[in-house]
Amino acid sequence: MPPHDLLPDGNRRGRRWAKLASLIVLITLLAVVPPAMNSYDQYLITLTLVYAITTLGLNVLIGWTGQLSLAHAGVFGLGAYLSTILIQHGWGFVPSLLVAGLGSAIVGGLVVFPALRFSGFTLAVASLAFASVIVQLFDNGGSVTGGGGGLAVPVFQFSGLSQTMSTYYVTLISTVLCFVVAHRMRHLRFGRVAFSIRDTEIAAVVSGIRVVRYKVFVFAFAAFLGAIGGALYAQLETFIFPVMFSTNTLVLMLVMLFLGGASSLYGPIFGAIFAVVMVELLQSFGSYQDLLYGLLLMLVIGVLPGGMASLPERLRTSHLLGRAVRGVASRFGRGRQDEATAASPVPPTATGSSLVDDPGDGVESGVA
Amino acid sequence: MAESPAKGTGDVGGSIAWDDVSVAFGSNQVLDGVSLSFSSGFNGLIGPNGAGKTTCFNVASGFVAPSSGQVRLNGTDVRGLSAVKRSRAGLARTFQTPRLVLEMTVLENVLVGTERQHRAGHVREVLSFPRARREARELADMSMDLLRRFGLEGAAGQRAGSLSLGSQKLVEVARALATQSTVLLLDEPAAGLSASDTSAMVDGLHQLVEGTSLCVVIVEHDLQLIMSLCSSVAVLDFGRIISQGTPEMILQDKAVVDAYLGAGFATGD
Repeated sequence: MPPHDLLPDGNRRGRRWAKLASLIVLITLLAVVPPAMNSYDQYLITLTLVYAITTLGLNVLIGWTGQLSLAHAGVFGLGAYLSTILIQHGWGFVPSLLVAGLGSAIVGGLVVFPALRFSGFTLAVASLAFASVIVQLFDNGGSVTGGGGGLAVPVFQFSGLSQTMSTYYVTLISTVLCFVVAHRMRHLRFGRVAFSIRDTEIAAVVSGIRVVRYKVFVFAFAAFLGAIGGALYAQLETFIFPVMFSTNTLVLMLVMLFLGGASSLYGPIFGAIFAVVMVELLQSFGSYQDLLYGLLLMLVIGVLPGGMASLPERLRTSHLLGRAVRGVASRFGRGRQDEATAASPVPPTATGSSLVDDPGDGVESGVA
Repeated sequence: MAESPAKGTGDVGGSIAWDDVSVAFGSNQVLDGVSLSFSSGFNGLIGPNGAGKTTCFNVASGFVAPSSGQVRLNGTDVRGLSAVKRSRAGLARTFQTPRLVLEMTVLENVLVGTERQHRAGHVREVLSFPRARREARELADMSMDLLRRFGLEGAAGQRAGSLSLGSQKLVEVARALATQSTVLLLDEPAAGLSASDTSAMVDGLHQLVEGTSLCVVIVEHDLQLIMSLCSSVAVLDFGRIISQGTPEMILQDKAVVDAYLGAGFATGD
């Protein structure tokens, strides 16, 4: 039960139904429109969904829980390789997808061990080394992984559908399932705990939260999502080789995460759309493509430091556009929350914590 | 309806004791053989800056390991227990600077404190099982009740970051109470608070603690608050306990007047 529904003035039911209806319409469109597209557009939309699932895993890890782990491209590859190898040994695609996800969750969960000792950049370097080991295993796995030459992926296909559309529908179903589960987790106890660990781990500890257990789960869950994305990516690309899961892929994931909006549930979707669509749109600029892509990234990050998902909030709080947006929003009921806020007996401040000097409590420094 | 924190803690007597605890950071002896004990009700721990008050709390909550001595929580030696295990054994605390997730709402922050009371697992919660929904509702009701006691029910849906420092401190106290612990350590809860926020906190604490066995230990420089609220007060100076007793005894103790209160305080100037 999301916290806003737990509030006594539960006047948000109508808005909740409106959101649900919009979601159903969106999913219906995603189900019926792509068959009418050409195969390249079908590939692009499937790739966007694959990236969204994968980046969601990274978001749970970095955006929600604040664990700067950079092994995600490695577990992405692990999902691709595990699934492909299992299919080559006669497994069905769906069982291979689940086993690849669970297997990668176990391996990805191992990254928690450095995370228990290190944080920040030290954890980043340790996890990057872990990912590098995984990629080296792909490279030197002989006939099992195909070495540097890679593996051809036996592609799953529904009868009556093309390979691309079969992959698309499995990806669409996976995306909906992953985001529905993530949405529930984000707005329930798990989300609260994850944010506490990220922002104030000490407070989480004194609240009796078993931080280590949560971290193990977060690393495993993030790896599960990354591996599901990897397995679907393998189906989409039909051929995999180690370089596909190198640091470049990690950088792309980080771009999607921060551009979309780390910590926002839907940020990975916006980030994935940006990454896929922009690359396509900029192709016509030839050799200037990378330059323009870089400039665009800088522009978006500069204007929206909280990522694209923060745009509505940014519009609501901006002076010029805010008035207009608030006016429109109030017509559709969104204004009620603002009114409730204004009527609150608690005086808001700009920073909320700058009224007195921070005396420090010596927990981190060890000095009273 | 879930039990109120006060009711939940009422059955078990809360107590905390430091037995000959010493702590040194390098050559700096921060605590030097501190022995003191507190039981149910409001207790105060006062002393000048740098006396070692917060270090006492850090030792009790497991963030600082003493070089010697032990801490007993509800009569049990908690040496060797991690901070999480101490918390789950019934110890809650707040910090001088509020430690809240500013991005989350006030209600969500208080709900963080209810972690130990969840019986339904995460999977049941995600799948929205009736028991999990009922439990979530009960814990939210309990959290809202806590916020109401501190006059913050109107802010439940606001982001914690939009509140004043004083209100953030109240939210942190509410979160600590939501853990339904038997011992509550409050580190300078009134520092930086307006008179109305201080009054809201004192009223809320009175309502929640009176008639229960909850042991509350308050580190505070607001002596008026300490003397009016606490039945037992200990005074630390340079890492040593120089006095412990009722507020009246403390006020008349020459060592306390010399080290902390000053002659002006004693004469009412």
